[in-house]
Amino acid sequence: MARRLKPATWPWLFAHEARLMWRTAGGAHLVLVLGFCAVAMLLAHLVGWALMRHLDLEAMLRTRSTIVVWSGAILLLFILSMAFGLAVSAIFSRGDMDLLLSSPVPIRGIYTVRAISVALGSIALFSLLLLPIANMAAVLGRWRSLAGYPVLLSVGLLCAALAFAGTLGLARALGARRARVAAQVLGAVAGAFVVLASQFFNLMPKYTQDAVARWIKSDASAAWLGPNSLLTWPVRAFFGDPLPAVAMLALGFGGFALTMHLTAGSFASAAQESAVAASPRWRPGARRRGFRSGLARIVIAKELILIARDPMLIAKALLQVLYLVPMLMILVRRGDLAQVLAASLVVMASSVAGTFAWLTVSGEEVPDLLQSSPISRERMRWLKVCAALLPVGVLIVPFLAWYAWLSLRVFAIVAVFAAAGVASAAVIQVWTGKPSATRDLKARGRQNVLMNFVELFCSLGWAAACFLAISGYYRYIPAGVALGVAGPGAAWLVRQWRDRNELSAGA
Amino acid sequence: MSDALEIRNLHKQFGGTPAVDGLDLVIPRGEFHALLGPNGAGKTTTLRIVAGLVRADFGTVRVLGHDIASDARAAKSVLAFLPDDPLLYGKLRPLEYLEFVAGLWSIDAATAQARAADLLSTLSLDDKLDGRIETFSRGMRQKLALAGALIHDPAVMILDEPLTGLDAAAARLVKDILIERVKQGCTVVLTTHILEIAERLAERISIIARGRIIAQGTMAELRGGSARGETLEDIFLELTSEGAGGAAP
Repeated sequence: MARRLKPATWPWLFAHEARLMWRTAGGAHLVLVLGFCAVAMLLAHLVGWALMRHLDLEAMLRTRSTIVVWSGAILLLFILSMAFGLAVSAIFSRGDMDLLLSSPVPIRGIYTVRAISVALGSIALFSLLLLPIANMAAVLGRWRSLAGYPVLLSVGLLCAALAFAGTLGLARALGARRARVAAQVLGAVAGAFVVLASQFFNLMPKYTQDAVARWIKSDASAAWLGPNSLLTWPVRAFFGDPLPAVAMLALGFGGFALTMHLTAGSFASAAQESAVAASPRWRPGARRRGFRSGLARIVIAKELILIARDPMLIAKALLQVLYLVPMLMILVRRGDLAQVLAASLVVMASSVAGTFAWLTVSGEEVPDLLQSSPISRERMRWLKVCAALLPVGVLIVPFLAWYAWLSLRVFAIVAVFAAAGVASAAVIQVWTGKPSATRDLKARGRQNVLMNFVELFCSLGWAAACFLAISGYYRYIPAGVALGVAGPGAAWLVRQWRDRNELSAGA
Repeated sequence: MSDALEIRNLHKQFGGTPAVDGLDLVIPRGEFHALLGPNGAGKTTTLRIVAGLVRADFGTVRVLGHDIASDARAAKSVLAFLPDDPLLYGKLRPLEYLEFVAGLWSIDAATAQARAADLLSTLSLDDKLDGRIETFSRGMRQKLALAGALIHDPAVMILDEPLTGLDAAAARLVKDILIERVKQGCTVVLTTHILEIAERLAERISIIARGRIIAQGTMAELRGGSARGETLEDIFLELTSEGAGGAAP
């Protein structure tokens, strides 16, 4: 399509972006992706039909306006979170930016097209879920619900504008290198905010909870949570309520246009600065230590340095921990603390271990060097995994110390099953990991979807076994252990299959 | 005494397309050998098989008598490989990188540190010790990668386009280092598209096309039949042009 458009125009640039997005989304499995989308859309329309047959928005606003407000807020924050991640990539990932910036195409055009792509990218997933609802509402006679299409687009544009303005503001305040990390963390926290905030309620003292509950039921909260609150407007707009819809469209499109106008210069500066922003603090004359001796020490030190010097990786890995915090908060409130917290700890430790093990084993930046060295691949992988597990150990030691203080029996159980979970995650990476020459965690999800699921179920298996052991349901423990052992077992089979294929290919 | 490099009947296909097709090459110890060929001729694949990065479909490769397939550890111990676009750890500093590479080849810490200091000084990188590699220019990265290849004092060096990205002074420096290494008994095998470099540095030259050696010898031997012009460029173009049958090695 891009070939038929006039070069260097907005439509031409947009067609180029669309082509890149399409190919990135589909990759080698485009037919699978399309098939999945078709099935998902069909199911979403069935759900939408069932939902819209019974949903009366006005009645719901009268009786449950708080739910409407929260639903809108959660969706907006998720879309904003997505937009931040995409905006960071659009500004700081080099990709074709050098080519575009060095071309005579006006920077404003490049920026606007990129931002529209971000807006569309941030609502793409939600479109699959929400637009079938609007479609089914229209089919059932509420044709104004088709306003959901432009309203959702305006929400995407608004979130994209906020994400670009925020990221560019951070770039101006902190510099490109720090802004990149800060914006990603900000986006992730925005996504987790609603979940985290809702759990803070559970941690509040009883009298504070009662006071909040009273406030929610009182007239004083009506301005915020009542049926006429402005906070209900996003949901009202989606279902075609004229005034909120017009307001949302004006806010989205107007905010987007204004942001593009005001920040185009900052975009150019940030994009140019990011080309040299990889530069760390230069520390001339820093005191140098002598070389280490011993392969194990050298490999472990190198891996830990690489992890420590990549704040984005640390931020992403720690976010995995952050998402578990709400769960821990719930458990603390409920008092079944020991069992379920222990199970959560096993899942968390396994998950972080899997991430770091992937980083060290599959995120190897210089595979040629290692392969051409006389060190065996297996030995190198195990050394890397040792390095990966050290930070995990540091992370879980405080928890284990707490358990040791609580009960030696529980401590022993947690230590054994956490170690099993961590070891399983590591073994899965050692046996199935493939060098990807990238340390981008997004690549992990794309690289081996099946083994990621196996790793997840394996950690759940060990967590279940841990829970059962602490609770005293000993006869059911083998079921959890079997699930836990199945992970490394599947990884071993994958490795055997791979070795056989390599041998037959090289024979 | 075994040759530095002995390649016999080497075959490698990618998706049914032969990249290396019955290649034979023997390089004695202490020789500066240039491997030339047009794009896609199979040079890089051959070198990557020699370095143990790619497994051959058929044929044998011996480095100082050690089979790269069955005795990889011994073969790799004496070998250094510098790829055409060397990837480095961007987050490490030069000394940290060299410490790691020396560790891979089990060089003791004191020796490695002394060699690293010497190499970085020789390659004019000693004023960049505090910078992370990600801040280095293409040429600086290339020089650091070369330092990594030299730090374990290899007996055989396999260099794929080692002068890419270097300025004139750095290229001269690297050439001098390689010549010095050969004088000390090291075998250097390099690929390059700059034919003058091969003509001036290499004792013998092999020209590869369509996955096999089509000509081999000293410059005088390659000139052999006077019909072939005087410069290496003339000979190379004549041998590798479409329709050329290729001379027997």
